[in-house]
Amino acid sequence: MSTIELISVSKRFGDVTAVEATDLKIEQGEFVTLLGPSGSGKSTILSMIAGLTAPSSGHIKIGGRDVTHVRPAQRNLGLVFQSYALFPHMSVFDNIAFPLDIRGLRKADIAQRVGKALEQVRLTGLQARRPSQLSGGQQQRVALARALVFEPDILLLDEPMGALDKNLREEVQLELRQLQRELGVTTVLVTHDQEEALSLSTRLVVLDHGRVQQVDTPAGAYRRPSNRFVAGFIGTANLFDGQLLPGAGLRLAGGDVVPCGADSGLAGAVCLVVRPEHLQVLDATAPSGLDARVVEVVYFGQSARIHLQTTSGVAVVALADGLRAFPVPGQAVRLDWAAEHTWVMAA
Amino acid sequence: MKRVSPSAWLVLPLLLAMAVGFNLPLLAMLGQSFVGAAGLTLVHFREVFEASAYLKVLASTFRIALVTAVVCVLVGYPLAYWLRRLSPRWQMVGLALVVIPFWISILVRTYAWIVVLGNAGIVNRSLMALGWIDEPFSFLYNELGVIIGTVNVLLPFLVLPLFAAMLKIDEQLLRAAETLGASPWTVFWRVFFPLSVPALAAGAVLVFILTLGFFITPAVLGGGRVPMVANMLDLFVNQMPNWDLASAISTVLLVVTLALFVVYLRLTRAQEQA
Repeated sequence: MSTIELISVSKRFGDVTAVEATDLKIEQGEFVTLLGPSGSGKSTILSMIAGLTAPSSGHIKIGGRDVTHVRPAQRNLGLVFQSYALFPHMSVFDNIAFPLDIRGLRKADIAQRVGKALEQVRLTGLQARRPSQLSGGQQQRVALARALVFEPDILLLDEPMGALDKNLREEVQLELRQLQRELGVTTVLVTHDQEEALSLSTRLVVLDHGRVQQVDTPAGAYRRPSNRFVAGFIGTANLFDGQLLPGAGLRLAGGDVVPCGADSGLAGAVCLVVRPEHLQVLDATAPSGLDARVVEVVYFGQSARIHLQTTSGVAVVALADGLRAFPVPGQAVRLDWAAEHTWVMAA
Repeated sequence: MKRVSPSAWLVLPLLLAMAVGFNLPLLAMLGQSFVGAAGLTLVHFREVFEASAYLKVLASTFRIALVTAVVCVLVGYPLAYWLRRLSPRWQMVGLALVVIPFWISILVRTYAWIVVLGNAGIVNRSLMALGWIDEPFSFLYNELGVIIGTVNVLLPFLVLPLFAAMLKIDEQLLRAAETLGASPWTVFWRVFFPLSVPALAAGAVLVFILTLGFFITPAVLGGGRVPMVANMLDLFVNQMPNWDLASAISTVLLVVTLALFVVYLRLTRAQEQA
């Protein structure tokens, strides 16, 4: 159980900067997700925390201890690899017992703790199997049990759901979250899946091109993205560029004035974020709103996604209640939204 | 019944040629070992197993094959492990150095050992110049010489498949072991080595089988003083000649080799499953 601290940690591979100088403090018991597309540096950061990659500069502290030059074996951390990296020549029991065995625990203690770990990941009865005889979901749980059985200070997860199908992934996410809360172990997850990041973490670290874009709670990052990248990467965002008017409202390039929150503290050229669920698609006869034309309607049952284009050519997406009647492609409509449901970023 | 695919008919002539050219003579040899003046008999086998001279040759052949296999393991494993840790470019260079001897005639390589290990050879002269020995040490015309020469010829048969198997061991497994708290020593002995054992054992069995039937190197470096099965067969076929006994000994050798080959197949299959 520990804190993790990155103090201006960077990593260069030759001329390529994989991670720019990064500062990050993760508190005891937190579940922090490093979220970003491939090449954003998220896996490199995890690898540096684990000690498998040496930083080019900066310091890493775990539980207040500077571990920058400490071998992975001495960092007392549990790491679940994307490939699970289970030892193919060992049974499930021996895989989970491995970290205890090399720490010199007695046979009886090992058996008891492995039994408890198997129970926690609901694999009791499978201890004699080889990893190759398990399903992907079971292998993932063995990897998790192996990473937790020696009560590490921190748990690191490198895209652990990447190889699972969608239904199984949701089930495993739920279990993982419960287990993490139960054990209270400080956890760092790496993923490119924003849904996974939103549903699991207490805090998100959004990365792009080796640079931290935003550190916030999932709701904070969704409601108050710090820039275009974060707005587009977490959920779907409609972005409108324009000039902030004194009072309230935003003047778009085409001259239209749309509703806009007034508490941003910004002025001049800004970018407005409106989430699809806050966009209202009205009849063309509505007294106010932005003129647009329906391009496509995609029906999902509980909801429908309506793709539109404004008269000035901006592509927009709206999420409509599935029970209502939808407009048809080609139809002229007006778009409106409430000022309090918007977010203003620097352009 | 399974349907025979049309392409199978294309290889039929080849199969026929192989059966007539290779398998028929082999069967004839097997047959001969069971045939005596008065029809079917086991008398040739009794002769093989009753005469201590033949058993001694068989025993010494097995001993030499065993020592050769063990030495190949002791030399080949570190060599393959070292090759694995080189950068891809140096791996190519290293592999080339291992493979190049394959392209040089066994006879040439074997005679080269006489130059190196003979009484006036490089090794003996160096040792004497250093003052470590007073008179030449006899490396040649004994089991030691045969083993040195055989190891040299057969080492690639162990190193190449072992190296290939080592390359297939997932680096992530070693990293995982490390993060779980294992020292480099533990990572090697608990993870890497067990995963390489099937390939190592398969290579050792292969070297063992090949040594059992080795002829040129024992003949040249043994100088006729290290009788191995192949050399004894040469004697029975070319000098005596005693074809019945030769075929009985060949049959014994074939049975042992086949049994070992089954072991080899089991090991390589275990490796594929791992």
